[in-house]
Amino acid sequence: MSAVLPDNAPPVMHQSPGLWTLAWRRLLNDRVGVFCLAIVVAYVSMMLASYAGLVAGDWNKEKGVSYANPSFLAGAENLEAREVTNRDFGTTAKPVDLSDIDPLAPRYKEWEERAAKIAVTEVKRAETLAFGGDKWGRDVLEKAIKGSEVSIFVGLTAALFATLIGTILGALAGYWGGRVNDFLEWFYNIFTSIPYILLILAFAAVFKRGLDTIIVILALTGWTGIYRLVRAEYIKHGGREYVKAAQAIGASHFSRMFVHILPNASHVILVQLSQHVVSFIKAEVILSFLGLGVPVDMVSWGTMLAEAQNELVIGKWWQLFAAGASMAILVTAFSMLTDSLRDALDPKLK
Amino acid sequence: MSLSRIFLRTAACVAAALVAFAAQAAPQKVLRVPFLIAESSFDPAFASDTYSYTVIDEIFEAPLTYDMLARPYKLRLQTAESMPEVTEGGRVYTVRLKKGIVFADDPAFGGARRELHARDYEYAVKRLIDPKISSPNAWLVEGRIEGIDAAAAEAKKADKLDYDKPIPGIEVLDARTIRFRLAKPDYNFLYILAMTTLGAQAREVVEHYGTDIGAHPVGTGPFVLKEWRRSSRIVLEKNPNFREEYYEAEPAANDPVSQRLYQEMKGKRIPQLDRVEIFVIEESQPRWLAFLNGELDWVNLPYEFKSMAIPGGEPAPWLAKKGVKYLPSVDLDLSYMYWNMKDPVWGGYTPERIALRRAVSLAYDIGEEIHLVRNGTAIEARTALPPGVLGHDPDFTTGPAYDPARAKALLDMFGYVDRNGDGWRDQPDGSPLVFTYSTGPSQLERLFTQLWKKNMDVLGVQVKVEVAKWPDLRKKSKLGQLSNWHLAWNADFPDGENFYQLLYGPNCGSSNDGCFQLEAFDRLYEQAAALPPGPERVAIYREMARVLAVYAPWKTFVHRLRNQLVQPWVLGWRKHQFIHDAYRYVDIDLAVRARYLK
Repeated sequence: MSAVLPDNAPPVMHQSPGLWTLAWRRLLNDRVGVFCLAIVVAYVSMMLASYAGLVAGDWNKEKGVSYANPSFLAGAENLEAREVTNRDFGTTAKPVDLSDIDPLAPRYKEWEERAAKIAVTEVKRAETLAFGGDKWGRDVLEKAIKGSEVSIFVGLTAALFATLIGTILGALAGYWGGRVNDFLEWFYNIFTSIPYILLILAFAAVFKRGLDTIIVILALTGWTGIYRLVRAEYIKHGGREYVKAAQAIGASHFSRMFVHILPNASHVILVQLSQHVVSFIKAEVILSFLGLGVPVDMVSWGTMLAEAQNELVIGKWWQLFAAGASMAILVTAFSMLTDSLRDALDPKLK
Repeated sequence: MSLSRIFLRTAACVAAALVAFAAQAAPQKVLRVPFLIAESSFDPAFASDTYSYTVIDEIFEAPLTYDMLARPYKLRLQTAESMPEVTEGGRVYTVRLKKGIVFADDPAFGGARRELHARDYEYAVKRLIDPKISSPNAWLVEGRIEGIDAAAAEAKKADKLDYDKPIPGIEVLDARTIRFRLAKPDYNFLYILAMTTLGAQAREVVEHYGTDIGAHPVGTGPFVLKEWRRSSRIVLEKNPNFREEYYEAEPAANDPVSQRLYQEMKGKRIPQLDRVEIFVIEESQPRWLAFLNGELDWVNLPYEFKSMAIPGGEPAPWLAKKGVKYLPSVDLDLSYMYWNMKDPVWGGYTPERIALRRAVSLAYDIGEEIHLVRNGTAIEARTALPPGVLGHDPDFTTGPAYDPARAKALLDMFGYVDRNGDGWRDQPDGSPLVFTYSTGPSQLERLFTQLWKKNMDVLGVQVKVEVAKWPDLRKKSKLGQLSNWHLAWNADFPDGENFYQLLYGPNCGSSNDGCFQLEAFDRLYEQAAALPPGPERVAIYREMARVLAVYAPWKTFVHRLRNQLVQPWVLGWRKHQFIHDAYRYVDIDLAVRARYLK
């Protein structure tokens, strides 16, 4: 390592514009990396399409019978659906006359006339759906697509915020050292001394429930690791010659921190960012699974997994599979992409 | 010596020791059962939840109890020697206790045998009005026993109850006789005397343990608390001091299940079990799997697994092969939603508010709740009173409970239409109409929320969902800060009064969370209480049901069905609404258990 470094130092000093191009080229040479990148891009575009309403817009519509079979299992017995269609509400008794005490009694006739004019349409429900239905008869494939919206959005934004917090605090602590460092270290220690899940649950209990809350919670609890790594990078770079040189030509503290050092620590930050996306997608799933997450008229992979919990025992595996597989593929692809990114970005490995 | 040989030798030694140990001890009859929700405390004055009371019922004893198998439910003697003498037209109740009843041993008695005294019942009543306990069960005695309200008010003022000061309505005539004088005639007081809340408590024990009394229940009942890991495991063991008592019950002649259970238990000494282990298992899946593995002796089939375990109302062949017994029944309960009658949008007694509440009721698809959400494990509640409660009327109906067309028509008629073009209905004065639904985070609650949201979307009413923990919502509810809330009530005794007290005007602030106060209803309630049980009282209850149907202070949902599954080796047991799990009336056939678990 030390043998390589001296050769590298001069181009870094000039903030070589080739850094990113080189990294990109290295990434393109990595076949696994390109493949994973393609998967991630496909997921993100699916998420954007769903957000724009191009796909899975009517995921909330009940199209099939309860736990409709997937079309490739069309003939299988569906006891749950039979239970629902069995409903028998006939009571032979005559309605009790309330008219002597009812303040609405004078308008009974008008009520009946108006009610007769309002048409109630019965929805036709399909016996099978492409990839099966959930308890309400909604298509699980559409749910999985719509669910990606929440899961990926939460994962990406929360990771961005966590990285932002971690980078800024890490830069401050590493660059300034001394009191600032002591204070931030103390702050960091408090955060890390509390078990992670407990901290998440504590935040979840204090804030109101909602999507933005999940993002805030994950960002506020996830920045600590990034902070330590960035701080270490800044301590390392703070004393380097190129920073001293920048000081000598009169660059401000801000400029030294974010214009000179930051690009040289960027490989650490980017890799951390993508790693956190993965862990936050999983955390969103856990939070929603615990019932702390997504509101009732939205769907995420986490809520799907929570619903699927009992479905497995009664043999309805498709919702679990749809959500689990979507998540597993994305998370694996993202992790491997992170690996390739690390290889591509690290200036030392050039 | 090789490692595996060492292992084999050790295993052989352990096995030999175990065999020797097993031969020494007589085979123990151990019952293992689940709780769905954690207990709170075993202090009868402090606890009010079903699960704590399931345990309390086995440790403490009220003067009366219920027959295990008789349906309709019937009272029988517990510590009372004979049925209490009722005089002065239902105002004076004299209770005489059996001889020779002693408490379970406890360090608080200093090694002496402590005999039951009539004073112990007086003490239990007084604890209910102790301001230091602020008992949720005070309604049982407040307003009923003469002079108790004054004593409670005085204690509240002093923030301390003087236990030595007598209450005019409670007289201890001698060691075995106690007389209650009521403020007004009340024929339901016999049922109150069968509630373990009034079970005998020894004052020296309560004073010995102080605030920790909830963990040290000491009573005269058939079991004692042996171990308690909070919210996880409760172990009861046979009380060696329990009096000599033999099983007796009166099963209905046309009820073959009860007849069979009676034959299984007839004449046996109570209790038969040596030990009861209770496990708190909140999630339905592990509970169900534990039952299937033979680790639990009974389970109320979680509704999710209904169509797999009892398709078409009969145990599936694979379950029948395990010898599992299926005992369906209807719980004496009601799940309902109250409307806060003081709410500026949803409460009130004017025609448009009545129309609004009735429209929302009509728009809620109760059939989908029963058959989809609850998987058919409930029956529609057309009135507040479930079957088995005096006043239940199977023929009472006001037409279909779910009728979206009539719901929409009603809102249109009273001016709840969309006024600002946002697609949602508004109030007649133009301000927005929002249905706030307060609920918890569990999966089941999420399903209910989805159903409400779906139905209200069809009706055109905007829904706001507020998710919070149950205790927080309860606090808000008690302070009147919710515009509506989903609740359930489990009967304490088989009479309509027990449900209608939740709507009785003066109970606003205690049990009447929605604060429904209607002169006509309150008068009917008072009339019914002054009548002995019988057709006249039933007629009044029917009139009350009509008033509720008109003013709609509640949306009644369902009475739950219980699909109890019991292992083949459990004898004598079926669910009892009022004495809960009744472990004292259970036996285990160890030979059958050994055969099935081989």
